[in-house]
Amino acid sequence: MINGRALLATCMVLCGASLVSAQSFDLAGRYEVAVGGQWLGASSLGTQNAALTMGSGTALNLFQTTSTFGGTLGLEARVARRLTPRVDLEAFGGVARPAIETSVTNDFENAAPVTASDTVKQFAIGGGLLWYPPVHVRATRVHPFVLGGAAYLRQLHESDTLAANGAEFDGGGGVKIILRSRASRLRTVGVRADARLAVSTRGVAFASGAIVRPVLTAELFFRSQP
Amino acid sequence: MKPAVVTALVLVLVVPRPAAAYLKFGVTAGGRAVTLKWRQIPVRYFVSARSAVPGVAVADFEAAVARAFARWEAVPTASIAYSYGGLTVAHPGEDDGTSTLGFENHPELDRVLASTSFVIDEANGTLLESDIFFNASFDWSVAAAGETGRYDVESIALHEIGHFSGLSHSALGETELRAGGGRRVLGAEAVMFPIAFAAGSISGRTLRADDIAGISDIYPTGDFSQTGSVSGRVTKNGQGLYGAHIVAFDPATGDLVGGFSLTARGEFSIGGLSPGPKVIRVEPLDDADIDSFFDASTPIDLNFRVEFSSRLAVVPRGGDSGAVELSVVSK
Repeated sequence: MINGRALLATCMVLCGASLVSAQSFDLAGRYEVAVGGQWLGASSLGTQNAALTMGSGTALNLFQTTSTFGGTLGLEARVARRLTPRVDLEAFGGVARPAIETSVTNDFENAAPVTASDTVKQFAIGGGLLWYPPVHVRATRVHPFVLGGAAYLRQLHESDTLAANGAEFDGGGGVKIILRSRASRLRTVGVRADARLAVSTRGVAFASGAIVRPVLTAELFFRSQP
Repeated sequence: MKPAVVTALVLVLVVPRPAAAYLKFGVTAGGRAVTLKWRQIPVRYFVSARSAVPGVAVADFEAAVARAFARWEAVPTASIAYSYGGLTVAHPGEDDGTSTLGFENHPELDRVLASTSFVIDEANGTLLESDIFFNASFDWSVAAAGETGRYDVESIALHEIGHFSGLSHSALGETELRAGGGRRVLGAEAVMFPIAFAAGSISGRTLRADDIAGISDIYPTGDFSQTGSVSGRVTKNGQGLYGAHIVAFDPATGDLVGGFSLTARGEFSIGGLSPGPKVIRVEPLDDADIDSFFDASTPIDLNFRVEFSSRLAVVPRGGDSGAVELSVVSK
């Protein structure tokens, strides 16, 4: 369970800021567009024995595998529309190429250990809500937020022979830092960083269970006039 | 179109049979290889009225083989079905048009627990009759939990019914040499592994992924089209390697399904696999007699090390992984 207060506090620490009383809110533009990069953390896919059955009914392991969904960098873009002064509705899309890696060890006939891999093309498109909590920081250009969302996930193996569709749910928090703000159509330009936990289901990488992994994102955003 | 009697696979107690994948029986008809299979389903079988040995009454034998037939019939991706015709005075092995199972006493076959024979139509590979004899010179049991010192009728019947249905041996198992000669099974992951577990074991009563893939390959249902295959090539010093044993392992489910390289270029194909990434392992057929799987005159290179593919082979739904290259080196 992700605790909202804990996430907010984490964001504050990341910003090097302290909570102060509520002040004026400076991200009032109606629309926002953001593009940037993301880092998807690695996740364990578990260990499995290649087991033969013995006469007693117990297992004789031919070899053992340990699989991971590797960490990788990707691209992400999002558009947002202000719903209330403190809530944005977001739509986003991302692409990444994580690798599935399976280490093979403990072969019964002493085969050399090997790591077999396959790269997955991953596409995600989804939406979510972003909330600016009623707090401010001393640096008035820094705006913390928490967010949560869901995405449709499509994963395609390296050989393009197998695709699978699933869902991804994520939640976390971050900050937006305003770099420039002026009275033009693109009123505000800034950077955004967030940290999330993503839970994906039914992907091609071992469909039997959910995959949980951290996601870090850094983006440049542009916000329109109010 | 004269049917020819073909004596097929015997279950050998102590003769080595390496571990690995399913093979299908086949004949050459009209210049091409065709798979042996029943075309009239359900396949009708009979039990010899003299199928009683100490510890196993005729009714016990009927019930045990019925359970074994039912296990093959229950494979959801295979359409094979059987029907019981009742008791018969016929003997297994007689070319009489009825498929008969029963005990026969053959003490001279001191390493053969049971054997399956066929009558086939050589023109198209159709199975016309298949008999299974169980060697009464061994001690047998139908006890639910097995019985020390006695071979389990149901386990051995399950293996022989695999042959009866057109499957050959799988090499998915490991053995060790015994001091007095022959081999002992350490572990197997296919009912169609040629060497039986020791007397008293009932581990052979359960069909494994390799058996299910094999029977489904011969008698596929619509669901079988949702499975896929891995194919590729095994080479040594740049030359194709014939008779290497290849295993596809699913790291998500733990399923093992095997196959062999069956051309001079070392090409192989393993079907009946669930979609997803697979670990591919290749090993020599060095656990058992080569003629358990191939013509004895076929030269099989056993001098290479066990290797794994450095990439995961991704099995698509209803398709093939694309070529997996496995290069092996001498021991």
